[in-house]
Amino acid sequence: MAKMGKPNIVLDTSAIISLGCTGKFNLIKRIFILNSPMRCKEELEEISKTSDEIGIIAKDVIKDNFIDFHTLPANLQNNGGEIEAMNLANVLNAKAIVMDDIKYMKKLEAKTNMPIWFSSFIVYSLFVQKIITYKEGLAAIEAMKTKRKWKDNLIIDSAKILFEKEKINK
Amino acid sequence: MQTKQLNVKLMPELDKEIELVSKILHIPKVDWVRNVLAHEVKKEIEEHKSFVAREYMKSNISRADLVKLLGKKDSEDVEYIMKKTYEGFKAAKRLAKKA
Repeated sequence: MAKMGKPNIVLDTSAIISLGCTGKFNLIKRIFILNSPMRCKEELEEISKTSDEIGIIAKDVIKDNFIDFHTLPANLQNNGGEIEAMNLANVLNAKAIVMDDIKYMKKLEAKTNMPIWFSSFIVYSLFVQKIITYKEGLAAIEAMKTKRKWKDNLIIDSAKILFEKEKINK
Repeated sequence: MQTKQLNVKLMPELDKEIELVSKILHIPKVDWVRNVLAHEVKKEIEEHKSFVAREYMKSNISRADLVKLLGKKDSEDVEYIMKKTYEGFKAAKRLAKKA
């Protein structure tokens, strides 16, 4: 099968924070081109003003330049980072939108045919492409469980349970 | 707002400690206890919901039990999360084959 280039994906703020918790952006960059709208950068700048763990992660993500932040044309700009993420994904003809917010995920699914996945998709990609080991993958998923609402943490629990089944099936 | 009264007997030491916290924070004793109680109840419910959802994800309880314990809306969200996680993992495998 012909090899393809690195797929373009678009991250919203929730996914950036989750993936930032894993500390694996340098590895993720090896298999994906990471994009995000300027609105998400603004949201990260706002989050980075707090001195807690999430604030520090937001600050590091902005500083480390792992993500290409795009300014959209005025007619595609929106106050919500997730809407801008969808618009950017359409502009770039991206492979997928990645987000960890089920409320907005459901809203976007009604507006676009583009695949929308959780950030666990990226960690699992690192594992199936043999960039990280099973143990590192599981640890990365666990690291994403930060201070969230119970339902948002289920995104991580669900990934962990599926990831663990992977080992049983092998 | 309609309220209900709950009478709780406290050990004198605990009562003194609450009194102290209330003075430090400049919050009436009853208000502080009410806030703490509300916070703990919410935390307990969320832990219970998470546990039930995880048990369903591990196939340890049925869908009927899930709906009974979490209600229809939360149950639908649990199933949505499972479906999207599965789809994401499947997509990752497809991409890996092309990489």
